[in-house]
Amino acid sequence: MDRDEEFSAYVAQRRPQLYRTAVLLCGDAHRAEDVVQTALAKLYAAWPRVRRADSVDAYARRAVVNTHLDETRRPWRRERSFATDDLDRRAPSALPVEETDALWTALRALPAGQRRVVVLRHYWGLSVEETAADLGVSAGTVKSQTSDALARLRSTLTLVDNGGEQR
Amino acid sequence: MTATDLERELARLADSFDPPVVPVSADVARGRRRLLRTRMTVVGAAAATAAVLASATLLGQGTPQSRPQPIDRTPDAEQTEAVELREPTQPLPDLDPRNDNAATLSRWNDLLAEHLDPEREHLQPYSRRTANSQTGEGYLGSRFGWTNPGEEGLGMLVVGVARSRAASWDSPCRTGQYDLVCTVADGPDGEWARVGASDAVTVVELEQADGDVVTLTLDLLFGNNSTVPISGADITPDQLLEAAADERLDLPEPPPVSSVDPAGFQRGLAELVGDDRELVGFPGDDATVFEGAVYGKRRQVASIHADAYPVSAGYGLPSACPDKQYRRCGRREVDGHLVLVARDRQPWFPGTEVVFAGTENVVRVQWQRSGDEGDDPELEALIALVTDPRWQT
Repeated sequence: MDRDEEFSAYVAQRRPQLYRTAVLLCGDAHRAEDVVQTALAKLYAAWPRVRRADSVDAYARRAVVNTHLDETRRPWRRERSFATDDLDRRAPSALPVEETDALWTALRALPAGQRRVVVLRHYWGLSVEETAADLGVSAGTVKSQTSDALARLRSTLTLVDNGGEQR
Repeated sequence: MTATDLERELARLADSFDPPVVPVSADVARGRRRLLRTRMTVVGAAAATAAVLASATLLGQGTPQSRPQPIDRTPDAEQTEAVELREPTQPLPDLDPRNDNAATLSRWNDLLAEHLDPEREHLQPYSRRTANSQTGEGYLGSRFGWTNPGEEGLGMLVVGVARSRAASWDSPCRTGQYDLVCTVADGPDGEWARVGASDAVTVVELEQADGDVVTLTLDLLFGNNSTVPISGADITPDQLLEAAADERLDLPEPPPVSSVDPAGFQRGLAELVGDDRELVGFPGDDATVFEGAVYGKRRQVASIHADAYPVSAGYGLPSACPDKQYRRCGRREVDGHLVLVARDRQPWFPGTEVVFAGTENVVRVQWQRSGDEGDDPELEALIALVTDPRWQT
């Protein structure tokens, strides 16, 4: 198969997951789509090398994370609050909407760096070392950010459960 | 909330985001534009350099009594390389250890037949030609044909095994490939599972006791290989769940790991790269001793992949100069062992590959130039790195 065929097959399979990763990172559907488009363009350009190295998933994941990182570094695209209505969501099949809303609210309240760590470690299931390598930070930073993020999430979710005003 | 809870809830939260419908052709078009821009940048820089050189030459020729030209002390890579690089004349075996999953897929095919089609009336045997196998980090999957006697149509049974839920990319419950809504279910022994079904597709995803996640998808149309679906398949989700729970559906053993010390190897690469450039590593698979990039002042100038595996694994040599894909190839012996060198795999690998088959380990480095600031490493230094006795202990 040539580059276009292989790339198309990969995108057809993986795009939804990359998009969901980007939404978790960005907290914004439109920015997530921008991030995915840019990441996939990078992937296409690097396809032969990445495919040969059998590291397509790793490259795509890093491309999404790094593109999000680049976006957050631009002053006019800094993290900001946004309306949940921006997202085109369906109710998950086995979880009350309120519950996912609480997690969603808590996740978006995290600083971007902690959110990246949470997504890589607990959505992608990467190890501390793998996460550190992806983000270009030390393992110690990943551990401390994970710990801080979990504490914040617990705190926010507890407030939500208790009818607090974090939502 | 424990980390496990968070993992589960994040997966469910993410599943609730509906991806927009974007034609793949649009992503391909954006990729092509980016690739074109990159190439134009390289060509533009090369053209500008050539123009400057041409102008200088013309100016020099126009002078009646030309001054003596300075001696060009820039080493000519081809002249100074002890390894003679020339057109490849014969292909060398391509025995990449990570490519041979045929035995595992064939075994899975037999197991699935045992559960779902013991009479072998529907499930076609594994075929390397049609299986469309998929591999990834901690993931292996394949597609097997499914037919009904007397019908022209072709359906498929898709199997995927992942080391974790996070690695279970291919599950249609996650990808939304069939626009299915999957619901949580119990496996035959109470395992965590999800089930989704439509008129044409049945999907189950099941987490085995060891954490492996098996996904089975029965689709009435094998889209890659046919345009005619089968009329139906008499297989229930419970049957698929029972098959998915078979712990013999497991991933193949990862390739044997070499004794090469990745940290030591990275230090060797860092010396090769020099103090004025930065070496950044990425995670790789089990055979990888280094995966990463070299950065100049502000830009990436090269990508590096290095891997190694024990000679005792019996894989033979990896692919330096296979099928004349490289423009120039060469070989040398170091202490009676072969070093293979390849340059400029076109059009996608502008760079150098060096492979050394030592006493204990086969060590390979692939150095790929990036953009207009990229350059090849000094070949002798690269050969010295891969043939370093430290990687053969």
